[in-house]
Amino acid sequence: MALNVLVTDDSAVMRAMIIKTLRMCGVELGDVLHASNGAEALAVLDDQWVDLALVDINMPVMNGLELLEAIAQRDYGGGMRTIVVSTEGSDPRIAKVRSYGAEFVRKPFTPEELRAAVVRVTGVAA
Amino acid sequence: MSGPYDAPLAEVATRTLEELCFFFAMPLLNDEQREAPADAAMSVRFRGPMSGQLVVRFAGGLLPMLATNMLGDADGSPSMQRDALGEVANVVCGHLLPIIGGASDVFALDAAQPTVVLEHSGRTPDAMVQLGLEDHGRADLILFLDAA
Repeated sequence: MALNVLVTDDSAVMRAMIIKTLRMCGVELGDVLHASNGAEALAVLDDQWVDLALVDINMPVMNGLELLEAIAQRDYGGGMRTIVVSTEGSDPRIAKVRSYGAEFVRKPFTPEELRAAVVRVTGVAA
Repeated sequence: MSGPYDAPLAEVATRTLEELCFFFAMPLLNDEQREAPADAAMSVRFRGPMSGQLVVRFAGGLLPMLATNMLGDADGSPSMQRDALGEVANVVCGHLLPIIGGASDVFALDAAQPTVVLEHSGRTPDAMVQLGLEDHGRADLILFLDAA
């Protein structure tokens, strides 16, 4: 099953690294969408079906936690899964991420770590 | 002189450069590395129980290689190279703060910004680490903490 993915990170290099890593891991990708902050991500989500959102925390305009809160308050059909990919090392912040039902992967990540998180949240084995 | 934050900064920086950028960083510099001219610097401001900024500066013409190593193919435009350097600063800062602060502390990190390090500005860094990269380049990592 090909996944439509939305990668939200203010670093274009990190977005490219995440997408490249997903492809390397054998994750079958459908549409690959980009956003550089939470507000841009919401605009994409309002317009397109996304199966998997990969979200940074520290971003300008709207950060990742604000985005998770906004997603929780909207109806995207309940099918979208979220992985937060961040340098965050604060236990309370990571607990907050998990409280939204999101997986957490810390940067820098290995392909195996990212793949395992994708399998856990989507149930799709790459 | 080495302060309390130099060792954790060196450890985090070495690991980040290896795992994120595929550079093997060496703490002992040869003459060419030591004298390499600076290419660019990016800084990340952070706020929380302590505030300040972390600067990462590359020297010796390694920015194209940095972008290539991170992207896995082309060496990227100059803006992608700066973006790559900013991501290094972001990751180092994100890993350093829980070590020097505490895992229960919450910090907000701003987006990485280009910066210029003024060696003779009179402001003393709270930590500074220089690491040799390849045989001719260098990474400087400089931590400034705001006065409490």
